[in-house]
Amino acid sequence: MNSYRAIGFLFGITFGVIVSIFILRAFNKNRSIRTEYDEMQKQARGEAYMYGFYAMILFEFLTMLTEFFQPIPAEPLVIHFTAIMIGVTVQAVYSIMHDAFIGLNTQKNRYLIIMAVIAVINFAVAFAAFKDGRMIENGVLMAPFCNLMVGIAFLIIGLAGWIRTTEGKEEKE
Amino acid sequence: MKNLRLKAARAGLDLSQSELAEAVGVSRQTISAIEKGDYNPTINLCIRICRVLGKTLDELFWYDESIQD
Repeated sequence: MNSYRAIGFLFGITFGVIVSIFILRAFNKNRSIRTEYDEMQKQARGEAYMYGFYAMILFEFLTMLTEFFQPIPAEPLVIHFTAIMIGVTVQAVYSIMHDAFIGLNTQKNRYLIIMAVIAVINFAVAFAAFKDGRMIENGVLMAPFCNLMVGIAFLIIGLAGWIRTTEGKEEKE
Repeated sequence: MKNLRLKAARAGLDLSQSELAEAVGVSRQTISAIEKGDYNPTINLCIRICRVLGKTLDELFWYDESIQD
């Protein structure tokens, strides 16, 4: 049963990577997979990756510490995926607040729509799993919780983007 | 330190931040950050900006301590 789940998870990740490549090609102006950033954005993104990495390490350390005293009622997959999503969210929010999230060749509106769609899909999957009782089994958080994490992460990223856009409008010119 | 000379030179050519940004290949936010003094550009970007605005590095980016903008 575990190997079936592992194969399913791997399939999901592979599917996600393939979809991401198509999405990157769709929202970059020159149909490039590579998003281009200028020198200030590259510097800010370097700092963003640093803080994202620290956040991920801190979360892993805290969960490890907690496990010494009391087992966390969640699958290991959920815990490690949550760590990844925390790192990604910190990196993204820091980049957004320093105008280094949207690249020079990114079609901003198309990109925001795609992100919103991904968030909605993940919330829908999480909601369906919660309704069917697949998210929490015997008091333990199961894999569908990862969808909820992705939805929440995208929501936070979207919120940060909206705040920065509002600030940017005020300081423009 | 705000770079008012850059802002003045840009305005003198009737260029918006977005237009200057596009001409030198950076984002509008980067030009805004340079003008506000929030970001110190590399020498390569300084040269590109100078070429577009028809100014020298001294005119836009050299600060004489005795002169305050």
